[in-house]
Amino acid sequence: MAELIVSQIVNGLVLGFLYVLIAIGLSIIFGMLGVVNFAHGVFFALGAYFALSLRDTVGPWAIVLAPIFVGAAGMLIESSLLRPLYSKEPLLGLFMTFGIALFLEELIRTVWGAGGRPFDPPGMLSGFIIWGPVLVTKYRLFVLVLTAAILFALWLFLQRTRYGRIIRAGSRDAEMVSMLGINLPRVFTFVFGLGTALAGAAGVLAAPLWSVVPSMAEGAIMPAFVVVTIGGLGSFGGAVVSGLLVGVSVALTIQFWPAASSAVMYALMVLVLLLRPRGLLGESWERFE
Amino acid sequence: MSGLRRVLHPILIAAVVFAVLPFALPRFGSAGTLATEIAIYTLYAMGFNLLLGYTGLVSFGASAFFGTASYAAGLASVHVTANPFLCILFGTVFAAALGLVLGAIILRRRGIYFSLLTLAFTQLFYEIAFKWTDFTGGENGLQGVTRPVLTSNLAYHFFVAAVVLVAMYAIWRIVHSPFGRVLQAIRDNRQRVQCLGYNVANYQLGAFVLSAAVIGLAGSLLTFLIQSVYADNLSWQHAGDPVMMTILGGIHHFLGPLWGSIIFIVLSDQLSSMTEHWWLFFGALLIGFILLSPEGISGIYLRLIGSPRWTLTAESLPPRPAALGLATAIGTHAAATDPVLTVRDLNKRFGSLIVAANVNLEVRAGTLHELCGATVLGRARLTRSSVGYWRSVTYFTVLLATAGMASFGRC
Repeated sequence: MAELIVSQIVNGLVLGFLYVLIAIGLSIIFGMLGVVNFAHGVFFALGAYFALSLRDTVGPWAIVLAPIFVGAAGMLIESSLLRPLYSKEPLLGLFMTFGIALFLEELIRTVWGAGGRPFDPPGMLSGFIIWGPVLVTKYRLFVLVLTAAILFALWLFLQRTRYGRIIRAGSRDAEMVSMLGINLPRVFTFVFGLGTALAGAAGVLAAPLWSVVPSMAEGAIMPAFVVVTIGGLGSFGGAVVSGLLVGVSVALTIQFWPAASSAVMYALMVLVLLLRPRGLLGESWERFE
Repeated sequence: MSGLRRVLHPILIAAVVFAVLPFALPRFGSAGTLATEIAIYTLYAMGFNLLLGYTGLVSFGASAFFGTASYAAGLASVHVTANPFLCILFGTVFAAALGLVLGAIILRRRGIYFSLLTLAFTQLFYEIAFKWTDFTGGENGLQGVTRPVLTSNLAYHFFVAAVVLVAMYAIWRIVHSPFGRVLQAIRDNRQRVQCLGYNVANYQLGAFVLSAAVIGLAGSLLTFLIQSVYADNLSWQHAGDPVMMTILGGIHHFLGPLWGSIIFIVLSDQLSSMTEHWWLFFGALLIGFILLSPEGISGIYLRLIGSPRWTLTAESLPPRPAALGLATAIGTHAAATDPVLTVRDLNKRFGSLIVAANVNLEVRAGTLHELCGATVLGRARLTRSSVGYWRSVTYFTVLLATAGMASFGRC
């Protein structure tokens, strides 16, 4: 029993780190552009599908190239479809990402087909690691380490570099940042590219764990919404804590009460909301309210 | 022109459309029941737009009320009574009650969190309905709903059309009532409405419950059209439908949801017979509308006739009353010498920046006052603090003599 719980917690952490990766992208895009990116899940799916197509030609490099391609697609979409709307009613940006999500998901269906596609992890990462009572697949451990590394690198980037400072300041007050001589449209495009690339990276990593189907977009966007609501938008720490919390809760429910596995995160969110309306580590940001 | 407008009351236009559709649609190869669906979805989108267009609340969880009401009506029909009218009434009341509970929870968060929460509740309900097979029929849907009266499709269509028109008329009256006007003021400037002494949270909850009831009515009507209930009614895609309809038709137009639901339902019916990838077309259509005509079809029409404006409410204002009630009320409630606003020892600081220190102020009815300050900052902060906009003011007492403004005392 105890080893089962520990194994599921490890699986939950893997899931949780993927959720964090998706949610952080959503969060920084929202912080900077003020748009909740409903198409975020589709960029996640796009990562998996790009990797699927690239794998045959470039091999393991697909894991690096696919997120970059997703980010490039994101930057293209931001500069062509979202940029004209910044000066207009803020709601339009939200509806635009909704339209983009509908369009891209159907595009995936048209290009790659509606059915699931198998995606095996690379040979050297198949197999198990048995570590005392805990049994984990090598691939899950790889995902765990890699996502943690990406998140740490992202945290360093946001906290320690000049560009990270621009993004953090821009999330607080974009207008002020532009008055300081920063080319805001370019920053917006970059941030959208970065956020979607993070979603794409999560999609690549999730591909061998989940099946690669067009509806995986939905499987990513809903947890991401829950994670940012529980953790508080704009809070890096909040996203990490709530992402891991959601991941572990889902993994444990899958084991012990499978019927409730997809409902549990929503229940968790309602509970957090009732006890702490602001979210776990959320600050009160006037822009988000 | 104004005479023509008066004759072309939006409800009348909708009535003509609903009367013509069941006969017009079969000519294009669509089923006549599609007209009933259009009437139901018009009501669904109108309930949604009551929050979006009128109150400024973006709900992505409208299907929570549509779906639960359709289940409530369906389950009542299967287990309790075969009378469809009672079941529809039950579904509507159930949705309104659910709206009251959910609204009290969800409205604790504002802005984008509100939208995400509505979405999450829809997903939660969907998961429950989909998995709880014993009660809801799960994947196979709830079967066995019967319609012993109004058995022909046309008879049911006209019943639905009549109900929808009555509901639309009720919405039209409500948005022109003082309650509806306050909702629209909240949409335009929430802070100002709050400072004027309205309890914004209660007004929003009222709008939320009203919207839930309207959407619930639509859901209950659908149950007896297709005589079964499916969990898809609760899905987030189904919550996106009224969003699409409202954008296609026009957010800030009373009949926007009607035009939107006609376009959405007729086009999807026609396109799905031609290609399985019709969502590709719909996604592109939505993107095109947002870029080129954010006010949808109504916006295009009004631009063509050369008067781009909102049509959420009638253009003409009600006649001005002979005497203004409020002015006399202040005179009778407070003697001319009593202050209507008293500020005592008001302090407001942002960190180390002190913007108001030990301010004392008395304002009497009918007098003019001037606030002097080096920058606009201190004066604006003082005014905002005095009417209770900030709750973090270190210490202050505001006494208001007029009965209508007493609610500030809470702040």
